[in-house]
Amino acid sequence: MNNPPFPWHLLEGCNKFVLSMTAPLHETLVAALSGAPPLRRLDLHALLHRLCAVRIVNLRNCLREPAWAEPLAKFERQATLILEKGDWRDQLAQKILRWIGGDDPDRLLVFCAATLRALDARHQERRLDVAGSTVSLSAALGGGETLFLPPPATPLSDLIPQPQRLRRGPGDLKSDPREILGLWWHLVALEDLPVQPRLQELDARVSHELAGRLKTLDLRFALASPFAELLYGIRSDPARFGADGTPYRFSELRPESLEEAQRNLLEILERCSELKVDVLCFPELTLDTDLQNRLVLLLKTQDLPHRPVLVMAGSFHVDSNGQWVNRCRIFSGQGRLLFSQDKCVPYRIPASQAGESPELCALLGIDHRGGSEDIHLSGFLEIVDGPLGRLATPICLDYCGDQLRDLFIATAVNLLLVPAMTSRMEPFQKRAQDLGTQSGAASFVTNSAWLLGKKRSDRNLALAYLPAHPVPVLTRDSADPLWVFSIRELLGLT
Amino acid sequence: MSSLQFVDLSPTESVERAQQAVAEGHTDAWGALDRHLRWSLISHLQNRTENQDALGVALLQASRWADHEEREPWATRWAYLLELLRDADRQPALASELRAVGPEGRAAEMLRILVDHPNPLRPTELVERMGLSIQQISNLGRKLETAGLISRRSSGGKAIWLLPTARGFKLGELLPAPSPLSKEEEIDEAPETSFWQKLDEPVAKIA
Repeated sequence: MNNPPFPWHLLEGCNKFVLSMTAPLHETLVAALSGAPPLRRLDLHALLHRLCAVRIVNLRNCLREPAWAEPLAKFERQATLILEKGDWRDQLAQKILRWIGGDDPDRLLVFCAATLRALDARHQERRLDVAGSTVSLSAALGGGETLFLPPPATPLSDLIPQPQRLRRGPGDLKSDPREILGLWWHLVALEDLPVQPRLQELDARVSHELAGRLKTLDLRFALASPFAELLYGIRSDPARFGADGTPYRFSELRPESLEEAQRNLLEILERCSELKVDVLCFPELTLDTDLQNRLVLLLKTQDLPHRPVLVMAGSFHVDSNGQWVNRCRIFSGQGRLLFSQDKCVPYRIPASQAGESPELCALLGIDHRGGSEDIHLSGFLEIVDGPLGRLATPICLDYCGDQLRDLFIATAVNLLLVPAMTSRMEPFQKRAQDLGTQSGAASFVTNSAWLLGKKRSDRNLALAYLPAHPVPVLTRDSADPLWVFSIRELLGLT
Repeated sequence: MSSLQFVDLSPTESVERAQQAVAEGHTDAWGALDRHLRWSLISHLQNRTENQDALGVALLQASRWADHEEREPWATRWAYLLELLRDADRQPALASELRAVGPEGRAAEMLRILVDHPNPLRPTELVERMGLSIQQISNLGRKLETAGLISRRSSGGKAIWLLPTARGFKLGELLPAPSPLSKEEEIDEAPETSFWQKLDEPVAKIA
């Protein structure tokens, strides 16, 4: 039987305060539970997470006290039951009322933490319904939008033997409600993010195939950078010279190079088939639209005894509804487009760098005053859940720059396939180690460094990093444009 | 109505048989395979007894085949069934939970005690109530926790409290109330427990 309705009139006035995340806790809670339209459980989940986050130091200190452990478990049990009732708002409000007058202000905070745990478990049971959804809180409750992300699969980390796993985990570096309370969901506050994460599931057929290959307890990656001898058309527009220098963009692979490029592509696919590659990656600005179409055709029609499950086809400047973007496309082994990622962070060549690299300036059609990539920037980071983990394919600076770093960590991305064009791999090495420590992320970078110089460069063609000790960040300097390795080989287990 | 049926075949066998049948000109094999795959999926969702891997392989083969032959709606439909199979793997199922607790077993009894008691309990309290060792309670707790039926909460890694989840409450209410152990049951159980423990010991030691 439900309890009698909560006597809201007793608290008249309480919910008229201008509330914020730092307002007294009971005021915010009462306003939330009595507000109109009625609060949903998912809203309360997001609200409590935010309330606990701003009081995290206080909460952590409470939970260190053994005396609080039992009440916390008791409150959680009560909250679990209350949340199943039709009049859950009234019943929670009854509890709050009971503790407003108490002499220990921490009691209400611990109750919030316990209710948050109960909501976390409740919504875990409704994962399919909740994953990827966003909740907007009203201005009266402090506002803000929250994205609900389930924890990613961790198959690559799971392949690392226990003694080789990083001793320091993400929990040691963070002080947030998820770590402190042992919550399941990753909640991401979206309101201040210039680039918004967008969650999707990997195609079920690709997922199933990858899961099957993972059962061998290994996986083979190929990082291919095969087009060093080819010529690309690059268009600069000095007439639009501005604060960022001269805009430039790659237009296409020159017709005289197309035949050789197609030959290279077929050779790569055949070698990958022979070497039983599961995931194949190409670098930035190498496979133009024609060459990507050729790749798709080969994947669809070529009789290969073994084909990769996932192909990250590098990136290229393409026309998207009248705007140029730097777009990375990911295909299935059957040539089906799975998703694409556009570059989010602007790339500029400052005057200081341009002055030192006349060769680069000539290549890109810019002058000593510098230049910038002539693209429209994306406001979204695509994150894709599958049996390999939470995959993102940031392009070059999106990965090694600082702008998206916190977003990768907040969204728990743990597999990064990165197309790059850089002469300096050090920032990529640092980022790989950083994300490995923070999120247990594995990174694989395929680089087209040779595009930046007239002479063919065999240096820094690829990078592979697993969050393991003492496996260093491995880079590839080789005349062979295809680097094939298995996870076990990277770990030194074979 | 189609006379072609794949009843009693495994999902993978049915795909192979359908491919043969279509090659021989029996176009109604597409519909028959669809019926069989849908039945297999529903049966898996309800009972969780179908071999999930085999069903996944069959759906993958079927959708690839339909894709290659450019046969709609089958290509889209079977890819969607594969999605549902993946989703089902992430969704708690009463059939799996009942199997995990074993309705008459000690895990069921422990869950029922936790549901009935007004507060979370510590493993030591369950030792007293159930007449089991702390190790046995710990094993049962892990089993129930893995099934998503209880949560374990600890304080600085020392004291632990066990409490049911929402699903644990729902399932616990369906289970029979625990009855106190009779002397005979206690006596019966003691040698059985030591027998199982001895299985872990080296052979020479047992001899």
